[in-house]
Amino acid sequence: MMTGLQIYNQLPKTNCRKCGFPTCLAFAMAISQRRVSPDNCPDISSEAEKLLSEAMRPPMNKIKFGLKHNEMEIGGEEVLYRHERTFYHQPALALLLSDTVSLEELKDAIETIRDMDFELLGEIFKIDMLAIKNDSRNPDIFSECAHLARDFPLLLISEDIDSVRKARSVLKDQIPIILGDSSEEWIEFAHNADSVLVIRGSSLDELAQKSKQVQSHHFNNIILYPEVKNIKEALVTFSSSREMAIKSNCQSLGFPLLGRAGKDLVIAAHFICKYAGIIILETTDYEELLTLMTLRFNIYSDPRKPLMMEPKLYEIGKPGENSPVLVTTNFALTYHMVHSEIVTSHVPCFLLITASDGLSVLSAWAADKFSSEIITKSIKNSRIEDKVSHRKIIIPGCVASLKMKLETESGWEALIGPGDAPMIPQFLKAHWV
Amino acid sequence: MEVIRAEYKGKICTLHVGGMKRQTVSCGGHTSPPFLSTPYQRPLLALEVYDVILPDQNQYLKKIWSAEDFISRIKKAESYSPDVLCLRFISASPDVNIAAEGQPAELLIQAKAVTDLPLIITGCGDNTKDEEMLPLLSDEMKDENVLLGVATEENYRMLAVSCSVNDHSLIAETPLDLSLAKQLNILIQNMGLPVERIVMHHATAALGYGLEYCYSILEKSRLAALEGDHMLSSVMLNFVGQESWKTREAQKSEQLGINWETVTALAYIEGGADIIVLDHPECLIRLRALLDQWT
Ligand code: SF4
Repeated sequence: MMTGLQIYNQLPKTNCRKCGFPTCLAFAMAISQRRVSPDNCPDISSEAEKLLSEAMRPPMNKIKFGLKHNEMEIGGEEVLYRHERTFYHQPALALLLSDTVSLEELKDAIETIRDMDFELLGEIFKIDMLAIKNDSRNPDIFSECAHLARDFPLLLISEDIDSVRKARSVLKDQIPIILGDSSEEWIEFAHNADSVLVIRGSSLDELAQKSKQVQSHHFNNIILYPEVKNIKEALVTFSSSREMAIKSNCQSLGFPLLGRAGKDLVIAAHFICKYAGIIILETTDYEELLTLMTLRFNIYSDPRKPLMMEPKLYEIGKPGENSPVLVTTNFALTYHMVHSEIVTSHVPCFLLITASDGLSVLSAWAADKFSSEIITKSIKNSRIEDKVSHRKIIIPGCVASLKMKLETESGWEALIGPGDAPMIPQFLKAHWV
Repeated sequence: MEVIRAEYKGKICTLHVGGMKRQTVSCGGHTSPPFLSTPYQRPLLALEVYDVILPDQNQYLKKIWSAEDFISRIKKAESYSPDVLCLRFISASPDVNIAAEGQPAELLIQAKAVTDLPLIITGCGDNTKDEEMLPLLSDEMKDENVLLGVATEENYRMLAVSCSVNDHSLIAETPLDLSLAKQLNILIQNMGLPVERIVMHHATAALGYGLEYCYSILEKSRLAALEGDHMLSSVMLNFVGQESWKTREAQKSEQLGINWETVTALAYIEGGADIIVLDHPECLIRLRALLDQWT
């Protein structure tokens, strides 16, 4: 690692601003924090760029694969615990399909997977990729299957290099991942065929050794696959690898890791928490996948950003003109707590979310981001007045002091709700139903 | 290749629950982050039994637990052999208006006669009510070393004194904030109950409902203790069942609810929780199978 000043000494020092920073020094500081890459300076000398890129090389390589123009990235992680900064690239979930099923069945399976939508915090997610296993050991069948699945990023699993060669040849528009062997022949093939190669090993030693060997061929496009027997081995091996890469700058282990969860939901969940870059799953069960996608979404959310909801009017259940109206801030956790309690109450409600910088109710109130003005503005902007015939709004109990001012400013009657979300069902039943 | 790992000078307290005629279990005592040293003391899995079943309880949980009376529910829970049984007296809540089959203390006398599992005894979550009721329950269990809860900044005094007099341990709850957690531990210790007898609850959110905040605070708390902050070296607990079965997902299908509870629990176990309170027996069975291969 280089300091900001050492980096600065490698820059042109003209302060020309072409990089978007006011000075070369500011740009150097940004590089040292890994916020920008050295090649954002158009005037940097090629020696300096090489030197800086090498020195600033992240402790774990980022690996790109998948569909051209829509590549996926894994790896590039910098910390052991998400609260230390964040985890950057969520692990890809690869659903395993065998090439021994009929093409019809495979087509159906792919269609089913393609149709799966997972809604998380209002955003729709899809299955990332497929893994196709060459159980048939037949190159023609394998490549036909790969061709059928070609609009998914693919992981090709086969020990037969001819099968992989053939399958690779029908995948023009993507960089596939290959899981087979890691002998010279395979390295050379993956290298020439613009593919990512999975290196397998039964111990960290073996993995590090093979990884070094691959890199000596000037090939860096690899993923490491520690072949572990159970969760105990998985945790120790994956954690050691991550810690060695990040804390001891061990370059041979500085690559994303692959974990095979089989049909086991809990092992898959474990791999999401602890350090897999790619997880092969043998399930197409929607509920299991939804559970895993939600966990991944949580663990890989950026702890530096407050999670925010869009400030607007949310309808929960099918509220009508007599339904209660509640208001709270746009801190995602607050929203979710209130939302889940309203669902529990079985009382359809309108939930008005204010623009409060993603702060919780008390913090927002203290910072003047959940004031009577802000709530009044939200009431007007949301057009809730067209949707309900009454004029009563339930405010969180901990900001009861807002009542008077809010009533004067908005013309609505403010009901003081419970201070804690879990009391909402009780409150709604007592005061509304 | 020599694997270099961080070394820690701190040690997590060991907590024992149970005693006298009761079975005894223990947790904690770690010197490394979760599962990274051998042997690693496995977390305890508790199954929760409510004194009354609320009408808005999750329909699938109701199916499992509501057909019988409190004592039958306890026997049923015991048949799944959890490490610990968690008895939850929610009927005392001012917001609950269905009567239990008796006063909490009466129910507890019957309950303790039918099981010899170690016990967690929790109240209704209303600070004032719990402050009245829990000391009575604590007296009833004198010398049987139960884990009592939940104490907050508001009501810890009575509860700490009661636990210290009767030789119990206490769950101390603070909302996602290490300095508040540490402060409450100090306050409780000043009332005569040492950190070894405190169990921290840093808040529990279900998967998809802010789990990441609770997950990270567990990790932070555990690392701080391992780095030598003795006042944070208490073991940690999460009420996974209650939160998981409140979610939208757990209303949709029982299987999804079970997945939700299991994976929420798994995340907290990864984060460093030493006691996990569950509501669905299936979840207990799955996690136990996992821990069997893990430790
Ligand atoms: S573009 Fe390069 S030379 Fe110009 S200010 Fe930025 S760093 Fe300095």
